[in-house]
Amino acid sequence: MNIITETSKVDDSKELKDNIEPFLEKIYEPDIRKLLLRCYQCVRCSGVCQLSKVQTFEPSRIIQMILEGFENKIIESGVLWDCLTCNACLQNCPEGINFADIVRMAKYKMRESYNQNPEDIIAHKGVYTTISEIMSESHINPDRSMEWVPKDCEISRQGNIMYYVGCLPYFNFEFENSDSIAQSTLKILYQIEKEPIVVLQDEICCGHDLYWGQGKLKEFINLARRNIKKIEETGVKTIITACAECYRTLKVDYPKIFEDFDKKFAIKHLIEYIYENWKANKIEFKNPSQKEEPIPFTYHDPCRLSRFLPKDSSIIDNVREIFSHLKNLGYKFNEMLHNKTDALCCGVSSWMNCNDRSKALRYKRLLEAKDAGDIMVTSCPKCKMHLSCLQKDYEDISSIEIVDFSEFLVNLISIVDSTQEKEVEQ
Amino acid sequence: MEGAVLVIGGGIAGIQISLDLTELGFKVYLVEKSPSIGGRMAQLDKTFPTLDCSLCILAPKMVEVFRNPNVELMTYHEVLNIDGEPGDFTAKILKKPRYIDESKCKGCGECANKCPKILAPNLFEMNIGKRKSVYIPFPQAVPPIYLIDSEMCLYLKKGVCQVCKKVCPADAIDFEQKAEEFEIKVGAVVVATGFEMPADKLSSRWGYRFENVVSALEYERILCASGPFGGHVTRLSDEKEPEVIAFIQCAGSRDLHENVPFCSSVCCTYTAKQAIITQEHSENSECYVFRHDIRAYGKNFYEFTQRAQNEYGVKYFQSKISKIEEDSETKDLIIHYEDLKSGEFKDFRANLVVLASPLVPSKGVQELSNSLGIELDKYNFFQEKSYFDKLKSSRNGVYLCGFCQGPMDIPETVADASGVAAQIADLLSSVKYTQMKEKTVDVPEKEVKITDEPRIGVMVCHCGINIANYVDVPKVVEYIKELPNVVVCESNLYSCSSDSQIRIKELIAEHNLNRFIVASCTPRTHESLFQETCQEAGLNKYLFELVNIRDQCSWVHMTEKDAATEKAIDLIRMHVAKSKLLKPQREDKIDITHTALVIGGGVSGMTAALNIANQGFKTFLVEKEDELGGNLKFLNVLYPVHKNALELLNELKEKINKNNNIQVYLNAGLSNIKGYVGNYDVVITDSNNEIHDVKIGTIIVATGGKELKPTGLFGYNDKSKNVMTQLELEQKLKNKDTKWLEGINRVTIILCVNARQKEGITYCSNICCATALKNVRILKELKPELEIVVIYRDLQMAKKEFEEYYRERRKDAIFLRYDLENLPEVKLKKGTSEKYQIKVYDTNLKDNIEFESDLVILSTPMVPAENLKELAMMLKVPLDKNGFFLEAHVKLRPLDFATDGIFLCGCAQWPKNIQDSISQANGAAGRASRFLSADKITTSGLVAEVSEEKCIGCGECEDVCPYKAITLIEIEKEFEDITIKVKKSNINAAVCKGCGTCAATCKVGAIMVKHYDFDQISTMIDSYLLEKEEIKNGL
Repeated sequence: MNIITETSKVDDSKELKDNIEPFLEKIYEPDIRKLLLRCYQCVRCSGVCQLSKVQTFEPSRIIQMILEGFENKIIESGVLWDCLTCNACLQNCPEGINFADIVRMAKYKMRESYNQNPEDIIAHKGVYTTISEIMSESHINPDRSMEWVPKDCEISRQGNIMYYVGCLPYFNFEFENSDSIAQSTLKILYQIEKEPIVVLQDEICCGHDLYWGQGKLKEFINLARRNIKKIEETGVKTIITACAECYRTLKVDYPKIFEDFDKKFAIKHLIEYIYENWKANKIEFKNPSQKEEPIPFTYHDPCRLSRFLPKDSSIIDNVREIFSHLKNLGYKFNEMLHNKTDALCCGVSSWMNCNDRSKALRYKRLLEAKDAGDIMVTSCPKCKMHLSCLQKDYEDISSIEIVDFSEFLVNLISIVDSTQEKEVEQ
Repeated sequence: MEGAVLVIGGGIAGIQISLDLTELGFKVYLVEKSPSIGGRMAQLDKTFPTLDCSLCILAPKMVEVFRNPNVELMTYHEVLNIDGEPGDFTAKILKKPRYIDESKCKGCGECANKCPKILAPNLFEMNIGKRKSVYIPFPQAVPPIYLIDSEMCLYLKKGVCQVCKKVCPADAIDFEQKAEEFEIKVGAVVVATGFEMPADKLSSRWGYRFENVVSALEYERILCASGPFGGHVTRLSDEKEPEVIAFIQCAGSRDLHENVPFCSSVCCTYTAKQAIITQEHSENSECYVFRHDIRAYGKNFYEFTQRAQNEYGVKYFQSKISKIEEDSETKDLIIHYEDLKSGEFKDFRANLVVLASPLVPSKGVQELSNSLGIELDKYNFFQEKSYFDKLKSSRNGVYLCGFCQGPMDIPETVADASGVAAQIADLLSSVKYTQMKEKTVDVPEKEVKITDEPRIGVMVCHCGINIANYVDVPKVVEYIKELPNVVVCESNLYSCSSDSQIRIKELIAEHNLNRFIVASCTPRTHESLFQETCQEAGLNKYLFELVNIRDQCSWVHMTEKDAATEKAIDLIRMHVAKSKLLKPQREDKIDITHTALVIGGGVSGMTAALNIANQGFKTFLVEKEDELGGNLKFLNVLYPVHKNALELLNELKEKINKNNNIQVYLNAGLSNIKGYVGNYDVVITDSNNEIHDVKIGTIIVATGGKELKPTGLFGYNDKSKNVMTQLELEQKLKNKDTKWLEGINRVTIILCVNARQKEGITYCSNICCATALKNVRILKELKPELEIVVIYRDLQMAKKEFEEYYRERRKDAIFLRYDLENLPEVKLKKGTSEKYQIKVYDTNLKDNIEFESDLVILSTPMVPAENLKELAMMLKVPLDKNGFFLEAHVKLRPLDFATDGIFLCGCAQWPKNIQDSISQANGAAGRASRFLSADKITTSGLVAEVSEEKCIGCGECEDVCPYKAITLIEIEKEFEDITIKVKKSNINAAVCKGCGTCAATCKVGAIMVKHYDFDQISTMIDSYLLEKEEIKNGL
């Protein structure tokens, strides 16, 4: 059972609130128009906008209205709460205008200056975002269940490598088997490292959804500060996550506020971690239950790992290199029609707008997956949940097995015995 | 100092520079890394806006370079490094092995015929189609020498084969050839390395990976009659004719995401051209253009894009597409776009997609910049020395020309080429003619008497398939062969190629011919080439005839092959008849005066005068106003570098004042211009009404332009203080007093006022957008809190620097887009005197926007200067439909008039900015000083001649002569018992263009045009009418 317990041990909430503005400045520009000036109305964004396929939503028109001084009309209409922040627009913008980032800032403004509250459109009655928000209070420390930790894995509070679990354990309330990703990831890490992995019982949320979805930037800053403090106390050098959202947040958004964050810690997604170990010849892939007929599978690129990372990131290529290698092990990798930075959205962003339109988006994605294979691997727990959820409603797509990257690989990894290899060489 | 120049790059830029430099008295080493000169222009199908066949107008120049004794052609060579100082450079050159002995190869192609390897991609065809591993890049390649691709050749790679060696009749194959390095000494270096179009580097959105998506350069080859599909519009997947063709503009350019932040400048216009040609080639096709801003940068180019729509039915969508996908079954392409007019998102199905993908500096510029020690700019174009001196590189003595300096079209490249030549002539003026070889004709001219039996040779050209597809060439040859006096008749693939010149000479010698006829294309481009060939064979050039069976037969009778063939036969037969009556003609040499007259003392005129004067020639600069400067006087700062206009003006004025070779006349006019090239008598009236008679060798027209005053439009009138034009605003901004800005909070700038319309001024004057954006910046600097609204139609910000300049300006203003159907409205607000109510239908928002403005600035087009008609009459040169001066050829002679000896530059030709005006002025100076650098000029033998005996002195010929070549003179006529004075017509052979108007007018038949006399014409008509029946019976 996961409980959130109040502790009165440290109450630094006042201190936190007092000096939040300098941090806010780094991630919030009140003059949104200033960020849009380069737009020359090529309207390509509106053409690629994934949301625009299911409802009226034209980023270019929104931009032009703001440029012409109608920002208040846009804000008042509340239309920006609908944005999926999938970043397809930035991916296509000739001038590199970061529309999703502007939506994020606008949401803060919509809340703070216009008293808008999107609670009606947050799914699951907003419970998960509320949990995140509560954790941003410095006097609240979660006492998370560690039941999910596999018996044969050792964890600790201090060490070199941290597994940053994220919200997975909280999802157990409503989603079956959501621990499985955490279990698989920890198994892989422990198998490779052969030493206790740092997992915090009082780990708190990275703040992704508050940052992108709910416009709660101050709460996000507090979460970041608390997280950094907790991570520093563990003495780790490397933080590994299996979650696309946690990864993007820690890798890109935390360093925006705390410049030395990425110098202190190496942030790695499980894909990068496995890829590096494989390339360093520390692990290899073996399939103990290989079938004669290869199983076709595909990969759904989460937006946070494709369109949300700096250009030099090679995760989307690395994961494919691993996958194409698996063809010798009975798994045949096929691309979906839309892939890599062009991938379709899983339909939901930060628990917002779970509705018929979102279902249409998800259905489209799963039809593509069905054409490509029996298994759909992804590397974002939320993508997995959103897409699996739809399978209950539609028979024709229910057969696709949707698994996380960690779950897919956990039984395929074996450690290269370095001593044996040396002998072979000799 | 070395009187030789190294030119790197053999495209149109390098070719034009080489030709101009030799005429200015310099030896040229032309180094080209590929096996042939010609460059990108050789790959183009046709050129905008005249739709001339690109290779047809280029090939004569290529051949001219090849034949020029002062151009040392080094194809398949590369420059390794440059040492030394301006005037004395040593260049190290690498000669790559062709594995074929250049001195032995006759270009017969037997090696390629027999070569078993057929797998190499054909680079000239943009990899559509294959070539052998021994090859010539294209049939008209110069030099016409084969080479072996060492990467593909079976012998060089695997040590087997050598078939080519066995079959080569000239024993030219040499597998032992090695790369060689050698040094040359030159006084100056020119870099003219051009561009490439790497569509494969685009992101996947553009769908280049799909078979039926091609880059625009590939499409040029598809359209080209000598291309892989013989000019039939074809798509690659099924080699069928596509019905719906989509042209995508800005496919990767103006795009930070694709790392091409600049505009390629030429795509809007060439796309209109490609769409027009497509409609001409395949009637059933429908062309659609997906465009963003229309940036047709150049003279009459905007109107050309309108012609594509209005006359050819090409449909334009104002939309930037989001992506292109393939229908895997039909291989059609699905284009996802938003129709900005309706705001709807649509999927558009096309059978073929043509991408206007970015043009970027060609491969290897990085290495070249290192080896030459010159800098690149941030876009990888070569960095010019300073913005207004774009022809010079960062290293003294090394010059830049063409696309390697920045995106530009062919006319600008050609103009710049002449400008570079002029600047080099300035740098090396002391060593002109020190390393020149005289062009000598080894063969003495053989005497041909009118009584000699005519022995005629005829060559009929296939012009690839240009002629052969529509005219049955073998049938024509069969017929012509049988005509009396025709000794020999053969056909060939390209008569203009250099191997054909050799063949013509062989035929003349072999058959002792005394007349020669080529039946091919137009004499405008090709006659002089064949005439020279005849001269080299000892035949007077006037014993040659060119029959135009391309324009007259294959082009105009495309759909009726039999009729085209019959007409070709008729035409050649008529010329055979005429040919029998041809007489050798003499050409005279006339002296020239080594002085120049520059009309107009603006930035162009001053620059041109300075260049000519620096080359050592006396130059007269005539300005109608009381000081030099022209429009530059009225300007505040110059975009995009924001140099103070006054500073540039003063620099130029100071140089003029210091230069002893320049004589300036202010407040001056021209009251008379008489004479002809090399010998003008000009009467200048100066400010004191004193009259100066000066002798002039050559004239440059630099009369400039002026801003249109939009009286009556958008509230512009004498009373409205706060509605003004850009130039009026410049005046205010120039004045550092900013008091007038107090109380002004919002400024509205309306672009395209009275420009780009359906009627009236239909053109885009190219410079107003940038001027407006410049003033946005200045206003913002003066008063940062100012709110500026720019109401535009398309933003004409072509050129490498301008996109970024525009990107920056978006921070300073709000941009609203309007279209011609809904013009903005400006109303004076009731009760106020200084406020205006603006109403505009914003096509971006598809909504009406209303706001108030304190100041309204109108961007109006530039129109020609006043009283040009009078000057044009005096100079005997034409004006175009918009009232600007009309150049000889918009593409390849942008600075020349059709009349020899007179040149133009700056806004007299077309609205242009200061940078272009300066480089063009240098170009005009270069063109003009070619005449001054020579000692004498040769006149044409094709002139009118008066029979004094017959002439009755009526003077009608004098009235009709368009070139003012005829004057009436009085002579004394002695009779037995009386002597009287009689008037006689007198024709100046140096001015006469041989147009024949006088001959047609003369009542008594006293005038005839040499080479086109009445007997010759009559015999052609007789041949057509009387011999016609014989063909029908005979064939």
